[in-house]
Amino acid sequence: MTLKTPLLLAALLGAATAAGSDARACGYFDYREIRPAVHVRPKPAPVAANDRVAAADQRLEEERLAEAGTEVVTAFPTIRRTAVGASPLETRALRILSLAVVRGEGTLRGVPGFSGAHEAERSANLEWAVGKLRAIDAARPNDPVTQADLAEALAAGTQHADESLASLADLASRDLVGSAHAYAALARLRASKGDSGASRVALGRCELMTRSPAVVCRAPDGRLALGG
Amino acid sequence: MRLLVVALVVALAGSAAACGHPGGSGRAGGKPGASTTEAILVGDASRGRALVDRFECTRCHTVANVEEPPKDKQCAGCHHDINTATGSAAGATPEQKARWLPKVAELGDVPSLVSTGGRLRRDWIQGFLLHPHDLRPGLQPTMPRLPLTPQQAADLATYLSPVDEGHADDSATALAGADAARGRELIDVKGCGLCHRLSGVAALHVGMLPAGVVPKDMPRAVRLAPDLRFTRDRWRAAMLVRWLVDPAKVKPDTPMPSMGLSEGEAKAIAAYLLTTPLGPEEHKPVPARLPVLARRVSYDEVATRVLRKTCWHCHGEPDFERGDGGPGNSGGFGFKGRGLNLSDYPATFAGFLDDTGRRTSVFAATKDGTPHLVAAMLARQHEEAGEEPETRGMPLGLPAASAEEVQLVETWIAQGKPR
Repeated sequence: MTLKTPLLLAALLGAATAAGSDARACGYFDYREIRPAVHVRPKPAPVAANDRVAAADQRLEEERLAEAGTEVVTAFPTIRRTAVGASPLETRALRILSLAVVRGEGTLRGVPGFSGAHEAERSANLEWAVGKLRAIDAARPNDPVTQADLAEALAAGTQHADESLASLADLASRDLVGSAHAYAALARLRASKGDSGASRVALGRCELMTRSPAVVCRAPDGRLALGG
Repeated sequence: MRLLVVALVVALAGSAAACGHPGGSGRAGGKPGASTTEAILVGDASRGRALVDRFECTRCHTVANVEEPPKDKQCAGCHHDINTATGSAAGATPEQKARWLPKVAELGDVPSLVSTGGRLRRDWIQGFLLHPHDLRPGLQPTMPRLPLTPQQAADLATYLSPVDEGHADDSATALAGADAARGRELIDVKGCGLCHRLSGVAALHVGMLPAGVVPKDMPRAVRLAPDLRFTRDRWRAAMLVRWLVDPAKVKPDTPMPSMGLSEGEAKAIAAYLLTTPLGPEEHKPVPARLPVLARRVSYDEVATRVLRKTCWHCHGEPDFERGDGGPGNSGGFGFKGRGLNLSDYPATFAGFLDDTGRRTSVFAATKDGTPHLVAAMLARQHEEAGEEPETRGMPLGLPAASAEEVQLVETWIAQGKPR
């Protein structure tokens, strides 16, 4: 037996005793078996949920949609069933995830519960995202950010195109839109109504508002809007 | 001869008080137009107590007999915690501390409103609430311009100083026998200039660290030390003498040390402070507005140097882990919620709720064509110059943005607010 061994035993005994102090306070003492030390790799420090949500926000901004989704789902594994308003942080997480789903057209590859492997799954994901963005918009009335988010989501389908166009056009006329994706949606909607001039204006705004114009600001015919 | 000096001091004290308080709430040596001429209104202390809550005085101040609000409603309390790594900031990570500390150094020290009753002149409190100015040169924040009516200011002043009844000047009796010239000598000898300024007269000698003053307490004392030119507006003579003899007896939490003054010495200092002629009040000049830059300015640069440096503290995102978006978003300090969130790019575009409740862009032009965001920054520069512009200056009660920072924001807006 080396000198280190009794020291180790003493340390372990001390740790066990200290750890038992709470239990002892309740009139209960847990005699723990002393086991040989096992060297395990230290666990990585857990990342706080708010840091994960902040990271998700950043990934969304960088158009790294699946990574944004992963951060949110890791922070809140049951988020699919979470109601808007459960907590401010979860509401923020729901917004990020919903927008990632919309921008990923229902698919977030590798994100549990949102991979959108089949068409039905993708539709369900989009429906879920629109529902959450609608609820967030209802919870924060008269907020152009949530209005633009919802309008962007609605523009992805044909059913609510007019509602989306009206909302985005009104917000844009008052310079209240700060989302490149919302302007891209507005450009598509205006083009679909035959207003190519107004569509180009919206694409111009889109280009100013993103670091990834090649990804976000595509002309309605699929060409990049870069250079007008 | 001595009698003549005393008579002169008393006469000067009387005339200074008369000149210094037009209508009771003007201030010594202020610019014409900057002084106030509101009549002294009769206040109601119980209404004043309710107004302490409504205007959220406890976000910054400790107010006697008023409970502290929760930490997330305390500006000064939260900053204090971060500065001292205690309370709500005790568990902060090193990264968080590194992020926070440079931004919170100042607001940890705010004068407490303990023992204001009888200490400060009620008419001065009323005037100061309506027309706040830079009272403490060593302190970065100043009292913000709150949306108070004269009656509300009177009610608050009555609550804070319930025993100060009259407008009568008590100098003649309280300073009988005082030698103002000796007072000035004492001010220099005792080292008052270590903490205080007395603008409008020859600079005070800095002197030695007064006996009994602990060096580590000095920074706080310097920050909270008022410019002594305003003493004649704030104090009545008899109370000033009591204060100088034993500050802690008058206000237990004061950083002002006892200087070991006899009553006669205190009277001499009081006589000097209350009567010495003052030069005109000096203000920061309004910086010249700079032309827009030729180079490209991104949102990140504007956010780092301006919006996220200060603005978003009060105009924040409500859906973070805790908080309500701050008083500039959900309302506070007596202001209604404006819904303004300057914490990120899309939110900044979302604008604010105008007086009709309609969303208005912060980039929309004001009457003179200046965007709202820039107009608020410029207004704060004018407030620091002693003016009271129609637009409320931002950041509220904090140092104005520099000409270069305003230029940056103007350039960014002129370039179409690029990401």
